[in-house]
Amino acid sequence: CSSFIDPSNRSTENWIGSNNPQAIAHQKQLANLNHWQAQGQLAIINRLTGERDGLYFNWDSEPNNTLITFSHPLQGVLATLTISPQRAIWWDEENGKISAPNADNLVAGLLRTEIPFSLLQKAFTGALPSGVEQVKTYDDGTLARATWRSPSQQLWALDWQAYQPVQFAQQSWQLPAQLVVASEKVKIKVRMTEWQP
Amino acid sequence: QDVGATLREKLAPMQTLQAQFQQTVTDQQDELVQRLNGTLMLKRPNLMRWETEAPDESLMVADGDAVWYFNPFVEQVSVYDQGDAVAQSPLLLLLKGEPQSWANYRVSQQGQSYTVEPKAANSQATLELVFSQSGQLKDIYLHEPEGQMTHLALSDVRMNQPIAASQFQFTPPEGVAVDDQRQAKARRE
Repeated sequence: CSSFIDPSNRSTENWIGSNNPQAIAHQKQLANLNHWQAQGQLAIINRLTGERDGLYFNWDSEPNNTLITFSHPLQGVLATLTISPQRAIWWDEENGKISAPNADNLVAGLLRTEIPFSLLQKAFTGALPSGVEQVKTYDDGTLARATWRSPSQQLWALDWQAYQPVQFAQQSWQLPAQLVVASEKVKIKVRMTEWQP
Repeated sequence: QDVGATLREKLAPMQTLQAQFQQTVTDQQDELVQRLNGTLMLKRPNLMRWETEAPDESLMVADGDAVWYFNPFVEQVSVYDQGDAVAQSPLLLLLKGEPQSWANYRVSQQGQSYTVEPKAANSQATLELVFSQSGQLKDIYLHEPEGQMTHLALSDVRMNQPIAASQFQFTPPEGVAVDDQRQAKARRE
């Protein structure tokens, strides 16, 4: 697994696979999570320049449409990003509405920082993103670490550092509380403070 | 007497204010996008402390010269000239007693609610202050030009009680990145 990030202190030995029934059960449960909403914070750290940005988010995800609202405690709503299979639409006060086929390219052009929204979207709930490798789980079957290569061949390391129990539909779900996604250039910390599945 | 003077008169007895707040931010569709709880402290003439609780701790301190915004999750503190900061967050206007500070704003009243609107077209948020029947500040709204809104519902409001000067001072913790916007602004000029 990559050394881009400082791993959490929980032990991880299990590889995901047929001999890991808890992981399989957890993934099966998450497959039923189609519409969810989460609030929290993103910290985006440029590892080359040291520049950092913090954004509060409200992430509202449905199978074919995700609306992410970015805000600041003292300045209110700053921007929104809408992602559907065909299109991504960004809005902020300065630029107004901008759309592009792909969210990652759209945001990279705007913020001059590569943020893999497509990966974040999949990794957000702790579901196994397609195309990931070197997957490791914690003892309870939740995902711990994995790596992913973007279409532009950028290697990203994922580290699900903490989970939280969330009650929903008469079930208890283990959903991420803190996730770190990092490449050589960028480290993105995600803290989910509130889940509304 | 114009409504602005009435509002300043209403705020004049407030030498210090301390309160708990629940802050909510809603988007144009009135959807809740952010919810924070915290503590607000104000002290004339220009001191302010706004602090939110875990798990989303963040802190803003206006010390009279500069505004410090510290976000532990990002491990960064941003520093602004307090003069610029008033433009950024009209909350700081609450402390300004002199009429000239309010010259750039139009004040209107509806019952216990006072709206403070920037005269410059669609520049920044409109501030709305709502008082209780007994004249105590109980709600602060920031209405954004595009329809989003920040609402601070105040509770446990205490006026004119002493507040330690240290509450309005800030020193960046060890190892935290400092994003000094004052220098950035000075370089641009």
